[in-house]
Amino acid sequence: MSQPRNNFSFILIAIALIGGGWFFMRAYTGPVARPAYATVLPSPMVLPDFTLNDHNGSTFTRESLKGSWSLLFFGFTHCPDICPATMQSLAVAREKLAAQGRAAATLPRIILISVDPERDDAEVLKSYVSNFGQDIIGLTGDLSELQKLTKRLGIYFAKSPADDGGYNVDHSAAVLVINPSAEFHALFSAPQRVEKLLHDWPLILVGSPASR
Amino acid sequence: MLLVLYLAVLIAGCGESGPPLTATGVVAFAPLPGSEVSAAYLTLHNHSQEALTIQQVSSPEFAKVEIHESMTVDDVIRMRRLDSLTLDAGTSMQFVSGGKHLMLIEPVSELAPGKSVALQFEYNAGGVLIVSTQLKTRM
Repeated sequence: MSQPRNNFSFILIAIALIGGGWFFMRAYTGPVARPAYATVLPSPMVLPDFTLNDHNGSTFTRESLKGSWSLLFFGFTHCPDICPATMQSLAVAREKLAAQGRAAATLPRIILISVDPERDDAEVLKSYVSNFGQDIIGLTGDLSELQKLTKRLGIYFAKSPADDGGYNVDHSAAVLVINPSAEFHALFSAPQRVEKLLHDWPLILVGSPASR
Repeated sequence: MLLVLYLAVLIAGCGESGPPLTATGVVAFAPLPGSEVSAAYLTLHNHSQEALTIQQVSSPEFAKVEIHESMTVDDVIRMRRLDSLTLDAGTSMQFVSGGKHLMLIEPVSELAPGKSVALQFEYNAGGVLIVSTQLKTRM
Protein backbone atom coordinates (compact mmCIF):
# COMPACT_ATOMS: atom_id res chain seq x y z
CA MET A 1 0.00 0.00 0.00
CA SER A 2 2.86 2.43 0.67
CA GLN A 3 4.50 2.11 -2.78
CA PRO A 4 1.91 4.19 -4.72
CA ARG A 5 1.97 6.86 -2.01
CA ASN A 6 5.79 7.10 -2.27
CA ASN A 7 5.59 7.43 -6.03
CA PHE A 8 2.98 10.16 -5.74
CA SER A 9 5.14 12.07 -3.24
CA PHE A 10 8.12 11.76 -5.54
CA ILE A 11 6.15 13.19 -8.46
CA LEU A 12 4.91 16.10 -6.34
CA ILE A 13 8.44 16.92 -5.18
CA ALA A 14 9.75 16.73 -8.76
CA ILE A 15 7.02 19.09 -10.01
CA ALA A 16 7.76 21.51 -7.17
CA LEU A 17 11.48 21.48 -7.94
CA ILE A 18 11.01 22.00 -11.68
CA GLY A 19 8.43 24.73 -11.14
CA GLY A 20 10.56 26.43 -8.52
CA GLY A 21 13.57 26.34 -10.81
CA TRP A 22 11.60 27.82 -13.68
CA PHE A 23 10.22 30.57 -11.43
CA PHE A 24 13.73 31.31 -10.11
CA MET A 25 15.13 31.64 -13.62
CA ARG A 26 12.29 33.88 -14.76
CA ALA A 27 12.64 36.08 -11.68
CA TYR A 28 16.37 36.59 -12.10
CA THR A 29 16.78 36.71 -15.82
CA GLY A 30 13.33 37.96 -16.92
CA PRO A 31 11.99 37.81 -20.46
CA VAL A 32 14.06 39.60 -23.11
CA ALA A 33 12.39 42.96 -23.72
CA ARG A 34 12.22 43.99 -27.35
CA PRO A 35 10.87 47.13 -29.02
CA ALA A 36 7.14 46.74 -29.51
CA TYR A 37 6.75 49.24 -32.34
CA ALA A 38 10.11 49.98 -33.93
CA THR A 39 11.80 47.69 -36.40
CA VAL A 40 15.45 47.31 -35.46
CA LEU A 41 17.71 46.39 -38.37
CA PRO A 42 19.54 43.08 -37.87
CA SER A 43 22.74 44.93 -38.64
CA PRO A 44 22.87 48.73 -38.87
CA MET A 45 23.29 50.17 -42.35
CA VAL A 46 26.00 52.71 -43.11
CA LEU A 47 24.55 55.90 -44.55
CA PRO A 48 25.77 57.14 -47.92
CA ASP A 49 27.74 60.35 -48.23
CA PHE A 50 25.55 63.39 -48.73
CA THR A 51 25.79 67.15 -48.39
CA LEU A 52 22.81 69.17 -47.24
CA ASN A 53 22.44 72.52 -45.49
CA ASP A 54 20.98 73.01 -42.05
CA HIS A 55 18.52 75.74 -41.10
CA ASN A 56 21.41 78.06 -40.25
CA GLY A 57 22.94 77.62 -43.67
CA SER A 58 25.78 75.41 -42.43
CA THR A 59 26.85 72.31 -44.30
CA PHE A 60 25.46 69.08 -42.89
CA THR A 61 26.93 65.73 -43.95
CA ARG A 62 27.00 62.14 -42.81
CA GLU A 63 29.81 63.11 -40.43
CA SER A 64 27.45 65.59 -38.77
CA LEU A 65 25.29 62.69 -37.64
CA LYS A 66 28.11 61.04 -35.73
CA GLY A 67 28.25 61.21 -31.96
CA SER A 68 24.52 61.41 -31.27
CA TRP A 69 21.39 59.38 -31.73
CA SER A 70 19.08 61.04 -34.24
CA LEU A 71 15.49 60.74 -35.38
CA LEU A 72 15.08 61.59 -39.05
CA PHE A 73 11.74 62.57 -40.50
CA PHE A 74 11.26 63.49 -44.14
CA GLY A 75 8.51 66.11 -44.52
CA PHE A 76 7.86 69.69 -45.63
CA THR A 77 6.61 72.90 -44.12
CA HIS A 78 3.57 73.28 -46.39
CA CYS A 79 2.19 70.02 -45.02
CA PRO A 80 -0.63 71.00 -42.63
CA ASP A 81 -1.53 67.67 -41.09
CA ILE A 82 0.88 64.76 -40.68
CA CYS A 83 4.17 66.68 -40.66
CA PRO A 84 3.47 69.06 -37.77
CA ALA A 85 1.74 66.25 -35.88
CA THR A 86 4.78 64.02 -36.32
CA MET A 87 7.22 66.76 -35.34
CA GLN A 88 5.08 67.48 -32.30
CA SER A 89 5.11 63.81 -31.27
CA LEU A 90 8.87 63.56 -31.63
CA ALA A 91 9.49 66.77 -29.71
CA VAL A 92 7.14 65.83 -26.88
CA ALA A 93 8.66 62.35 -26.64
CA ARG A 94 12.15 63.82 -26.43
CA GLU A 95 11.02 66.21 -23.69
CA LYS A 96 9.54 63.34 -21.72
CA LEU A 97 12.67 61.21 -22.12
CA ALA A 98 14.73 64.14 -20.82
CA ALA A 99 12.32 64.57 -17.90
CA GLN A 100 12.93 60.93 -16.98
CA GLY A 101 16.49 61.95 -16.18
CA ARG A 102 18.10 60.04 -19.05
CA ALA A 103 21.68 60.87 -19.91
CA ALA A 104 21.98 63.56 -22.55
CA ALA A 105 23.97 61.19 -24.77
CA THR A 106 20.98 58.87 -24.98
CA LEU A 107 18.51 61.54 -26.06
CA PRO A 108 17.84 61.74 -29.79
CA ARG A 109 18.34 64.81 -31.92
CA ILE A 110 15.26 65.50 -34.01
CA ILE A 111 15.97 66.25 -37.65
CA LEU A 112 13.44 67.31 -40.28
CA ILE A 113 14.73 66.77 -43.80
CA SER A 114 12.61 68.75 -46.22
CA VAL A 115 11.47 66.90 -49.32
CA ASP A 116 10.32 70.22 -50.74
CA PRO A 117 13.56 72.12 -51.38
CA GLU A 118 11.77 74.45 -53.82
CA ARG A 119 9.79 76.10 -51.04
CA ASP A 120 11.76 75.20 -47.92
CA ASP A 121 14.92 77.27 -47.84
CA ALA A 122 17.04 77.70 -44.72
CA GLU A 123 15.09 80.71 -43.55
CA VAL A 124 11.72 78.99 -43.82
CA LEU A 125 13.05 75.88 -42.11
CA LYS A 126 14.62 77.87 -39.29
CA SER A 127 11.35 79.54 -38.50
CA TYR A 128 9.45 76.26 -38.78
CA VAL A 129 11.64 73.96 -36.67
CA SER A 130 11.96 76.56 -33.91
CA ASN A 131 8.30 75.88 -33.12
CA PHE A 132 9.15 72.43 -31.83
CA GLY A 133 12.10 73.25 -29.58
CA GLN A 134 15.53 74.78 -29.59
CA ASP A 135 17.47 71.68 -30.58
CA ILE A 136 15.49 70.68 -33.64
CA ILE A 137 17.46 70.65 -36.89
CA GLY A 138 16.00 71.40 -40.31
CA LEU A 139 17.84 70.25 -43.42
CA THR A 140 17.42 71.14 -47.05
CA GLY A 141 19.53 71.01 -50.18
CA ASP A 142 19.75 70.07 -53.82
CA LEU A 143 17.36 67.43 -55.04
CA SER A 144 20.26 65.26 -56.18
CA GLU A 145 21.87 65.33 -52.73
CA LEU A 146 18.54 64.60 -51.13
CA GLN A 147 18.04 61.62 -53.39
CA LYS A 148 21.44 60.18 -52.50
CA LEU A 149 20.09 59.77 -49.01
CA THR A 150 16.48 58.86 -49.68
CA LYS A 151 17.19 56.20 -52.30
CA ARG A 152 19.58 54.37 -50.01
CA LEU A 153 17.18 54.59 -47.08
CA GLY A 154 14.11 53.54 -49.04
CA ILE A 155 12.43 56.89 -48.47
CA TYR A 156 9.88 57.86 -51.11
CA PHE A 157 8.91 61.38 -52.09
CA ALA A 158 7.32 62.86 -55.18
CA LYS A 159 5.56 66.08 -56.13
CA SER A 160 1.86 65.71 -56.70
CA PRO A 161 0.20 68.49 -58.73
CA ALA A 162 -2.82 70.15 -57.11
CA ASP A 163 -5.86 71.48 -58.99
CA ASP A 164 -4.97 75.11 -58.24
CA GLY A 165 -1.60 74.91 -59.95
CA GLY A 166 0.27 74.31 -56.74
CA TYR A 167 1.50 70.98 -55.50
CA ASN A 168 1.68 68.67 -52.54
CA VAL A 169 4.48 66.27 -51.81
CA ASP A 170 3.72 62.61 -51.22
CA HIS A 171 6.33 61.23 -48.86
CA SER A 172 7.29 58.42 -46.54
CA ALA A 173 5.83 58.73 -43.08
CA ALA A 174 8.44 56.66 -41.27
CA VAL A 175 10.82 58.03 -38.67
CA LEU A 176 14.34 56.65 -38.95
CA VAL A 177 16.61 56.06 -35.98
CA ILE A 178 20.26 56.86 -36.74
CA ASN A 179 22.85 55.66 -34.23
CA PRO A 180 25.93 57.64 -33.11
CA SER A 181 28.02 55.90 -35.78
CA ALA A 182 25.80 57.52 -38.45
CA GLU A 183 24.18 54.20 -39.29
CA PHE A 184 20.52 53.50 -40.03
CA HIS A 185 19.63 51.56 -36.88
CA ALA A 186 15.84 51.27 -36.63
CA LEU A 187 12.58 52.56 -38.03
CA PHE A 188 9.23 53.67 -36.61
CA SER A 189 6.36 53.24 -39.06
CA ALA A 190 3.42 55.65 -39.12
CA PRO A 191 1.46 56.79 -37.28
CA GLN A 192 3.99 58.33 -34.92
CA ARG A 193 2.89 58.43 -31.30
CA VAL A 194 4.66 59.72 -28.21
CA GLU A 195 3.89 56.51 -26.30
CA LYS A 196 5.50 54.33 -28.96
CA LEU A 197 8.74 56.23 -28.79
CA LEU A 198 8.80 56.39 -24.99
CA HIS A 199 8.28 52.64 -24.76
CA ASP A 200 10.80 51.61 -27.38
CA TRP A 201 13.59 54.14 -27.01
CA PRO A 202 15.35 52.52 -24.02
CA LEU A 203 15.01 49.12 -25.69
CA ILE A 204 16.55 50.37 -28.94
CA LEU A 205 19.52 51.66 -26.99
CA VAL A 206 20.11 48.36 -25.17
CA GLY A 207 23.59 47.12 -25.88
CA SER A 208 24.76 50.42 -27.25
CA PRO A 209 27.69 52.11 -25.46
CA ALA A 210 25.72 55.37 -25.56
CA SER A 211 22.99 53.87 -23.40
CA ARG A 212 25.23 53.11 -20.47
CA MET B 1 -9.99 75.51 -22.94
CA LEU B 2 -11.69 74.96 -26.18
CA LEU B 3 -14.60 77.24 -26.78
CA VAL B 4 -16.95 76.35 -29.55
CA LEU B 5 -19.79 78.66 -30.36
CA TYR B 6 -22.45 77.96 -32.86
CA LEU B 7 -22.91 81.42 -34.30
CA ALA B 8 -25.59 80.83 -36.83
CA VAL B 9 -27.39 77.99 -38.46
CA LEU B 10 -29.39 78.82 -41.54
CA ILE B 11 -30.89 75.79 -43.03
CA ALA B 12 -32.77 74.65 -46.02
CA GLY B 13 -35.68 72.48 -44.95
CA CYS B 14 -34.89 72.76 -41.26
CA GLY B 15 -37.39 71.08 -39.00
CA GLU B 16 -38.32 72.28 -35.57
CA SER B 17 -36.25 69.60 -33.90
CA GLY B 18 -32.94 71.35 -34.60
CA PRO B 19 -30.36 72.01 -37.25
CA PRO B 20 -29.61 69.19 -39.69
CA LEU B 21 -25.86 69.71 -39.51
CA THR B 22 -23.85 70.33 -36.35
CA ALA B 23 -20.21 70.09 -35.38
CA THR B 24 -18.48 68.98 -32.21
CA GLY B 25 -14.87 68.78 -31.04
CA VAL B 26 -13.63 71.59 -33.22
CA VAL B 27 -9.85 72.03 -32.99
CA ALA B 28 -7.92 74.41 -35.21
CA PHE B 29 -4.19 74.99 -35.01
CA ALA B 30 -2.51 78.33 -35.54
CA PRO B 31 -0.21 78.32 -38.58
CA LEU B 32 3.34 77.73 -37.46
CA PRO B 33 5.75 80.57 -38.09
CA GLY B 34 7.39 79.67 -41.36
CA SER B 35 4.25 78.02 -42.67
CA GLU B 36 1.28 79.45 -44.55
CA VAL B 37 -0.96 76.50 -43.79
CA SER B 38 -2.57 74.82 -40.86
CA ALA B 39 -5.26 72.26 -40.14
CA ALA B 40 -8.58 71.97 -38.34
CA TYR B 41 -10.30 68.86 -37.05
CA LEU B 42 -13.88 68.24 -35.92
CA THR B 43 -16.78 65.86 -36.14
CA LEU B 44 -19.78 66.69 -38.31
CA HIS B 45 -23.19 65.25 -37.51
CA ASN B 46 -26.02 64.93 -40.00
CA HIS B 47 -29.22 64.84 -37.95
CA SER B 48 -31.52 64.95 -40.94
CA GLN B 49 -33.27 62.23 -42.91
CA GLU B 50 -31.42 63.11 -46.12
CA ALA B 51 -27.85 63.13 -47.31
CA LEU B 52 -26.03 66.43 -46.85
CA THR B 53 -23.29 67.42 -49.26
CA ILE B 54 -20.78 70.00 -48.14
CA GLN B 55 -19.81 71.99 -51.20
CA GLN B 56 -17.60 74.64 -49.69
CA VAL B 57 -15.83 75.62 -46.50
CA SER B 58 -14.50 79.12 -45.91
CA SER B 59 -13.18 81.33 -43.14
CA PRO B 60 -12.82 85.10 -42.87
CA GLU B 61 -9.43 84.51 -41.27
CA PHE B 62 -7.97 82.51 -44.17
CA ALA B 63 -7.76 83.14 -47.90
CA LYS B 64 -8.86 79.59 -48.56
CA VAL B 65 -10.14 76.54 -46.71
CA GLU B 66 -10.06 73.17 -48.42
CA ILE B 67 -11.28 69.73 -47.45
CA HIS B 68 -8.35 67.36 -47.67
CA GLU B 69 -7.77 63.73 -47.00
CA SER B 70 -4.46 62.24 -45.93
CA MET B 71 -3.96 58.58 -46.64
CA THR B 72 -1.05 56.51 -45.46
CA VAL B 73 -0.45 53.47 -47.64
CA ASP B 74 2.69 51.38 -47.26
CA ASP B 75 4.10 54.05 -44.96
CA VAL B 76 3.73 56.75 -47.64
CA ILE B 77 1.49 59.76 -46.95
CA ARG B 78 -0.58 61.13 -49.79
CA MET B 79 -2.81 64.16 -49.35
CA ARG B 80 -5.58 65.04 -51.79
CA ARG B 81 -8.18 67.79 -51.98
CA LEU B 82 -11.82 66.70 -51.96
CA ASP B 83 -14.24 68.77 -54.05
CA SER B 84 -17.18 67.95 -51.81
CA LEU B 85 -18.15 65.64 -49.03
CA THR B 86 -21.42 63.83 -48.45
CA LEU B 87 -22.75 62.73 -45.09
CA ASP B 88 -25.47 60.11 -45.36
CA ALA B 89 -28.66 60.64 -43.38
CA GLY B 90 -28.18 60.25 -39.66
CA THR B 91 -24.42 59.75 -39.83
CA SER B 92 -21.36 61.49 -38.40
CA MET B 93 -18.00 62.06 -40.00
CA GLN B 94 -14.73 62.61 -38.16
CA PHE B 95 -12.01 64.92 -39.39
CA VAL B 96 -8.80 63.70 -37.77
CA SER B 97 -5.07 63.92 -38.20
CA GLY B 98 -4.05 61.37 -40.79
CA GLY B 99 -7.53 61.33 -42.34
CA LYS B 100 -10.00 63.92 -43.54
CA HIS B 101 -9.14 67.40 -42.33
CA LEU B 102 -9.62 71.04 -43.17
CA MET B 103 -6.58 72.71 -44.65
CA LEU B 104 -6.46 76.36 -43.62
CA ILE B 105 -4.49 78.25 -46.25
CA GLU B 106 -2.88 81.70 -46.15
CA PRO B 107 -4.00 83.56 -43.05
CA VAL B 108 -5.17 87.04 -43.98
CA SER B 109 -3.45 88.48 -40.91
CA GLU B 110 -1.09 87.23 -38.24
CA LEU B 111 -2.91 84.51 -36.35
CA ALA B 112 -1.51 83.69 -32.94
CA PRO B 113 -2.74 80.87 -30.70
CA GLY B 114 -5.80 81.98 -28.76
CA LYS B 115 -7.26 84.02 -31.58
CA SER B 116 -10.82 83.14 -32.49
CA VAL B 117 -11.50 81.95 -36.02
CA ALA B 118 -14.74 81.01 -37.76
CA LEU B 119 -15.37 78.18 -40.18
CA GLN B 120 -18.36 78.30 -42.50
CA PHE B 121 -19.73 75.12 -44.08
CA GLU B 122 -22.08 75.47 -47.03
CA TYR B 123 -24.17 72.41 -47.80
CA ASN B 124 -27.05 71.37 -50.02
CA ALA B 125 -29.19 74.24 -51.27
CA GLY B 126 -28.49 77.17 -48.97
CA GLY B 127 -27.61 75.31 -45.80
CA VAL B 128 -24.95 77.00 -43.74
CA LEU B 129 -23.20 75.99 -40.53
CA ILE B 130 -20.81 78.40 -38.87
CA VAL B 131 -18.62 77.37 -35.97
CA SER B 132 -15.90 79.28 -34.21
CA THR B 133 -13.01 78.16 -32.09
CA GLN B 134 -9.83 79.53 -30.61
CA LEU B 135 -6.62 78.61 -32.39
CA LYS B 136 -4.43 76.18 -30.51
CA THR B 137 -0.69 75.83 -30.54
CA ARG B 138 1.06 72.63 -31.60
CA MET B 139 3.44 72.72 -28.65
